[in-house]
Amino acid sequence: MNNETTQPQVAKEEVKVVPTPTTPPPPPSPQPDISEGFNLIPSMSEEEKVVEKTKSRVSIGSVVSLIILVVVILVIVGFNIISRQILNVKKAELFRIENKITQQEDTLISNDEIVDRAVLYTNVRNGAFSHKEIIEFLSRMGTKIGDIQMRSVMISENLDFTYSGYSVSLEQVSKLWYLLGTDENIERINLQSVGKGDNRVTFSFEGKLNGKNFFNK
Amino acid sequence: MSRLATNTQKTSKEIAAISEKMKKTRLNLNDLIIPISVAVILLLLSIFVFIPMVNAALDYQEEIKETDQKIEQLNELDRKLSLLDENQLSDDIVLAKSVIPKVLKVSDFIYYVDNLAKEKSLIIRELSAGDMGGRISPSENSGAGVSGPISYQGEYSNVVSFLDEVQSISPYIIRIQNVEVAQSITGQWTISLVVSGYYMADRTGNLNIYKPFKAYTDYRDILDIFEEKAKNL
Repeated sequence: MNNETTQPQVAKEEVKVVPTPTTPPPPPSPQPDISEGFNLIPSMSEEEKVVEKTKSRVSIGSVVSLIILVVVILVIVGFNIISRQILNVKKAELFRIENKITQQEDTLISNDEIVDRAVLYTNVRNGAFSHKEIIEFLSRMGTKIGDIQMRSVMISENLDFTYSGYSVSLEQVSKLWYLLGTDENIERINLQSVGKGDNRVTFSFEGKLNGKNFFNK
Repeated sequence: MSRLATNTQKTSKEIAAISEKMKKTRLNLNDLIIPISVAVILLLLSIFVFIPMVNAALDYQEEIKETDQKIEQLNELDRKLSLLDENQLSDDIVLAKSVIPKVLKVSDFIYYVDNLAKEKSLIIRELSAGDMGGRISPSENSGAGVSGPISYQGEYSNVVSFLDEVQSISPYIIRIQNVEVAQSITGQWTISLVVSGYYMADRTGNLNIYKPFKAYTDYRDILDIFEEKAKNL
């Protein structure tokens, strides 16, 4: 009997005492440092830190680029303006001195006219030579041999000449030929023709003179 | 099971968050719009503004250099002109124009040549002349001339003397060419030549103050010769 009465009590006690499942204790929360206050802004993650660093680098780069750009613009525009101003000043100076020279136009024209005439005279004189001296030279050469008579002399602009005359013998003509051929005043000599008559020999030389001793000084 | 589902859900959320963060760090088109725009604007500015301005400034510098050279040249010209004596210049231009006149009449020239021949007792055989303009000038910048063939006859000594004086003591600038002296059967000597006399017309057109300047005083010796020739006029 007691077992029957005790059993329901035990059951009741068993029913009554039902062990509750044990839950793990909650992790201890970090204890804030009460002395510095609470930090409501969440700290940045690593990725956010990299992004922020990149952004600041780009910003600084942009500012520097803008500064450089502004400086370049100022330099270019300033250089342009200064160059233009200097050019205007120089042109004004040039205009002033051109006017001054133009006022002396008569002097300049007279000077140029005299110079032109002097140059013309110099050009004419430089190419000129003494025909008289050439004729006398050829006559002298004939006189050196002996009985050589000059008949005609022709002298061209280029110092080419023909010299014809008479002699008593072929020997004198050949001597004359040799003399003319070895003289420094003759550049080239050629016996063009020779003819023997009864009592005289006619000859004709042609050649080119070396004009250095005959040009007008 | 519910724990597993919760963990799975949590992992999915973490993966989504990580993938979201990765997307945020990548460059997209919106990020490149401003840099590209700035680059294009800079390029356009360079092409249409900066480069022309720099070229213009360089042109100015070149022009400044040329202007400086011109100023220096004109200052030197002004200095040289100031050294010329006005009175002496007036006398010298008259002298030069008397020897090489601005106009040489054929008649005057022929008269002088024939007069000289008569002084040497030469007999005329041929005498003609014409105005050749600039065709007988020895160089480009020289004047014009009167030219023609002449032929005289006389004694040998007179012929040679005429040949000498027609060129040396002539009051004009004379050039003789193609001279032929020949003895005729009668024993008289004939001289044939082409004689040319020069003249120079006055300058026309605008004066060029930038051409190289040469003071006429550098040709003092030529002017002395002109003075001697002018005495024979």
